[in-house]
Amino acid sequence: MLAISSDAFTYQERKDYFSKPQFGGWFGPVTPAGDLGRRVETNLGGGAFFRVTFPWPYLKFGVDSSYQKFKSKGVNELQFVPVYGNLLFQIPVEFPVRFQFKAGAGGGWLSVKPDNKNGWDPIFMGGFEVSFPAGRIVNIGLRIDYIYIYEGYLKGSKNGGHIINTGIQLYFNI
Amino acid sequence: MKLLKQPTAVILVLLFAFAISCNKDPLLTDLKTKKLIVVLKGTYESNSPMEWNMPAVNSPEYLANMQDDSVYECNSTTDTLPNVFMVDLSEIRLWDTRGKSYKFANYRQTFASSLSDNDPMFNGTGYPLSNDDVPSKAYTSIALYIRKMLLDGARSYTARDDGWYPSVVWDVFKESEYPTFNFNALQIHSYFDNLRLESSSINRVYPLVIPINDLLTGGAGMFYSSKFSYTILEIRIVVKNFIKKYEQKSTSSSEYTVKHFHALSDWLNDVEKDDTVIGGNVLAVARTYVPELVGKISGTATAGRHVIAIPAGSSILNYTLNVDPYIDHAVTTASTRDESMGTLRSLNPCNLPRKPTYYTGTSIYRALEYYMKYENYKYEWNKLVPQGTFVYPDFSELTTYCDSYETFKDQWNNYAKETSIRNMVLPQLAVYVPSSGTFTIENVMPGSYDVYVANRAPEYGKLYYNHFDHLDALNNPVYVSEFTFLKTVSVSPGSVATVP
Repeated sequence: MLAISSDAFTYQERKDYFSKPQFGGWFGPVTPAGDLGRRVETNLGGGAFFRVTFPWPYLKFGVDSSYQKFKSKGVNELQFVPVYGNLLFQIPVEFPVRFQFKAGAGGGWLSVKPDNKNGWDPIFMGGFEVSFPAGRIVNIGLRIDYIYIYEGYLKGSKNGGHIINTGIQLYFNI
Repeated sequence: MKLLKQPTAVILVLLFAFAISCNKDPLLTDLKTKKLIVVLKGTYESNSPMEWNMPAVNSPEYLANMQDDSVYECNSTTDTLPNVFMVDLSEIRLWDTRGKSYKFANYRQTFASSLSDNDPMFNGTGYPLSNDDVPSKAYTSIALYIRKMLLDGARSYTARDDGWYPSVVWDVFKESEYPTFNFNALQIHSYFDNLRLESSSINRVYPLVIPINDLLTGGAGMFYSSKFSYTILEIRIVVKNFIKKYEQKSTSSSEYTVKHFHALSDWLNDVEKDDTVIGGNVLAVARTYVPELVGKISGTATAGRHVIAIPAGSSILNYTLNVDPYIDHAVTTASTRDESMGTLRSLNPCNLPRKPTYYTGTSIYRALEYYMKYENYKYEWNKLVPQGTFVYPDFSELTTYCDSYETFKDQWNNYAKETSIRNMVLPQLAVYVPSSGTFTIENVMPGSYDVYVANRAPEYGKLYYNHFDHLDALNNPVYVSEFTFLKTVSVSPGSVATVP
């Protein structure tokens, strides 16, 4: 009984730190995929995010933004700033590392060259994260996100955009 | 629940952003859409090219027009006509008015075209190139980075006691070997580039810079706008009926060998025997048109002639080459060129001999021959560039010595000015009048054009000349073109202007 209760206590305490509001940043390779991948090339990108936990500790809500600039050997260039909200679901299994799935939607600012046009498009995303707690405040993580840029509602649109972001992240429990 | 107020607010903001994300244009589709279409043609004509007209091997016309005068050492008659033209482009760039280059076609592209009237390269259609769009603005010229240009039918001849022994020359195209010869390597320099101080920085084919003299910009470039659904940029390199056979000596083999190969005609920059380069002979022109704006020029003219349209008011003499200026004017009053007087180039007193290339093989006979050639080179050089008081018996033949860099520069500048080789441009619009006598110049951008017809049938391996007419009051020669004026026409979108 004692063993069970002490186990439960430690569990509770670690959970508490991770359930605090969190903010942090990430950077890593950003890769255009599909048709977009034939126009522009992989580059380094990075971003910042903020998260709060729902009353149920395995569910978080986050806001994420980043800056991604894709160049090419020629004249093509795409700048992309996604701003989206997402729900993060943590696998409710006791592990030293935490696994989280996430899905969300929002808007993305795009600027394309050589046409020199820019504007906002709706985006959808899904992703997966692994986090290692490093003390009470710091978390270190790896993430992989897929972002779909939706343009199907625009006249003349032939394709959307697929982007895969991978990165390492550092964030803090505050 | 207090905690949830923040996310709710953020969700509302994001939904708002989602709602206002109403682009007019699908940006990602724009990134992919190609509105600038680049087309490569191998003809002098912009449409309706004349048929292939290569003379039969060893016919009198072949020896006169297809075989260059650089072929003199090897008299073997086993050469064949070329069948395939191959080009390897590493990329294309556009230069804007401030000299910035746009790598809009950073794609390696290779084309192999059969020398037939059906191949897109030679039937007036052209090959579309891979490229991206460029920003909407004005551009002055296009630069082709030509990695290779090859033609088949090249042979290497080895001298033996009982005659010349031919063997096929192989070269690499698209990472595979073919019985062909890359003559592009010899196009880097023109004959007098080698003797210039800055010769190491000269490259005439990488890139080959082609100015775009569109009527819309007053001849200063092209204007591209993404507002039009398509803009066609047409690049033409004169290949059709413009191929000649040249000769070069090998300097590395122990055996005495010469090479016969095919390359573009040396009509503009004459290639002489013993030349190691053939550069300055890639004649090219570029123009743009917007399909939704174009009209046509149609009419009748003598069958078998070229009809060209140039911007109204511009001088026809810019589209033709002045005839031999080193021959006395009295001689050239005859309307045909007197070949016996020598070529334009050989009469230039600064047409200095080329130093023979070092022999690197092991044959004593060939080494001795190299030394003899070297002695001969020194003799020829000293005739043109006398040193001290030494006088050669035949010095009286010369009226001008090429005894300083200044003279060298002046003489070649003078040559260029009088021959107009640096100023000559190809007409953007040209057609060949078929046997019906009715021609149509397609895809003409709106504007006023002067239409001309050639007063002679095209000659193989040659374009058009001016002829000396008379001396003006200041003793300057006055030339007339081989093109005769037909009519000034005005073209508007969708219309057909008729000539005459």
